Amino acid sequence: MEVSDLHTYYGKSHVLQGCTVTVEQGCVAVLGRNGMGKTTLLRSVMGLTPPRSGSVQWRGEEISRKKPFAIASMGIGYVPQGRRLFPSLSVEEHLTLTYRPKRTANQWTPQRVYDIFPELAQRRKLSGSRLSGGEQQMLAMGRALVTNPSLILLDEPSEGLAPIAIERIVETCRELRKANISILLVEQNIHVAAAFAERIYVLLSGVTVYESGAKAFLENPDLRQKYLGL
Amino acid sequence: MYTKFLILILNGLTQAAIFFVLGSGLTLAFGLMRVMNLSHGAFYLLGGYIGYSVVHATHNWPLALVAGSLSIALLGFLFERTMLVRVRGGDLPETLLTIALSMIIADVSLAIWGGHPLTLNLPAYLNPPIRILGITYPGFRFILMGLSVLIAFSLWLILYRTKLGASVRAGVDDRETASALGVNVDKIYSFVFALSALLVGVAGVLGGSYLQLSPGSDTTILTYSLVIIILGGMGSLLGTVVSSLILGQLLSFGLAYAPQYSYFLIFVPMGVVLAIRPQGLFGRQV
Repeated sequence: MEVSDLHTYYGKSHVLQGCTVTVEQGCVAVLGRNGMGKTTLLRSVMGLTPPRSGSVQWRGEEISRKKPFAIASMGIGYVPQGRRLFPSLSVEEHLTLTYRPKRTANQWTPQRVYDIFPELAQRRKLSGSRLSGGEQQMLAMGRALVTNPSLILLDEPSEGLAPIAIERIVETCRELRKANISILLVEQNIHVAAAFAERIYVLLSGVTVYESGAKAFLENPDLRQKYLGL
Repeated sequence: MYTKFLILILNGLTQAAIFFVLGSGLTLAFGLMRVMNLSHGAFYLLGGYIGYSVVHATHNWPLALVAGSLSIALLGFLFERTMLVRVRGGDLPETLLTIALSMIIADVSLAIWGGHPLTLNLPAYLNPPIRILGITYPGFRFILMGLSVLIAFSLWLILYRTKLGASVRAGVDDRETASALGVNVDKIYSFVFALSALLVGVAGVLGGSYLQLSPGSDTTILTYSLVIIILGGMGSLLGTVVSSLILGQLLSFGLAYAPQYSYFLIFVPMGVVLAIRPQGLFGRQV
């Protein structure tokens, strides 16, 4: 996926002011402080806040003018910030609603999601909103996985979670990498990004100002101080 | 005294049955699409009139029910696909558009069916006098209640036991996230709007068979529908059931004991609910 020179507005406010990100195989993390446009970037890619200019190429096809459901059905999974589960749907319904079968041996089925997150299997009949934070994040990921995406957009998966739950999420992301699913991760928690990202972009006021391999950035305190204040 | 009470309660239940059919579609459409269809009353009137013409021509009441409801469903579907879709998300244009449609329907109906009150003729087999608990009550009203329960049950089945229903609920909860997960919310919109129109078409034929259809019924019915769904909580099926039952009894007893205030009375519970629980009895905060 190639995002180039994306400009997105919320009403009159110019949030993304030229954002360029490339995701090939692997995991790319976009870092940045609060309010820098990270979430907007994912929303623009997904067509939820359509960009005013710039392009999003997915497997050689321009998708920036497409509707969200069309983009989703082209193999892009979305895990929104704050999980945004459906309070009226049970855990099971979350997984059957978005399930899109794929004729390959290792497709993601609701059962396979239960296999990697057994705690969800025990809560099948419960409303999505009555799970713990960690379980909610698992369900949000599971619901994206059953669409059988080739790329998954993860928006702040660690937000508000206990360290042990974060560990589960990181573990799952590593599994996804093994299953050949690419990840575009947006995070404030650089430890999560460090755990499995291969490339790093830094977003500052809606502009991608920095790009490098993950190690080069994370092991350089000056760069971290400069862009993230950490 | 006892007989009078029983009759009033049965009248209230009849009224509630119509109220439910009226409100259920509107509340679903609002819950999902956030669009307040102000031509709901006009749809009712038109559905009733079409039913009337069919009964008049064929003397076949069941056929009238089918014709009235299906034609309104079709109208609703086309209206949503060709007009509403263009102003999606704009409250004011949506309001103006649906009001405009209701005016057009009302005037066209006046031109076709005239200004005299009309009632659909019920065949005797659908309206046998039924003796129950010491009184005699028109059988059609029991059919009405039965149909309403059947509709409630079917809606519940569709909403809670099918994948289509799950996508409707997901769309009501969070249409953005649903669409980002591959649910074609536009299609669901069309379906729900057409379903809502179908239901109000049914209500028109049912209502026209025991009340009167006349110019002006459309606004009365629209007012009732709005009160029903505001009281029950917009988007909630259960809320619509409960508020229909409350308002049905209130209207029935109001008509008997304080006829000059009966129309005003139905606004009382709505006022109270709006003051202490603005999202309605079973509604969720929007």
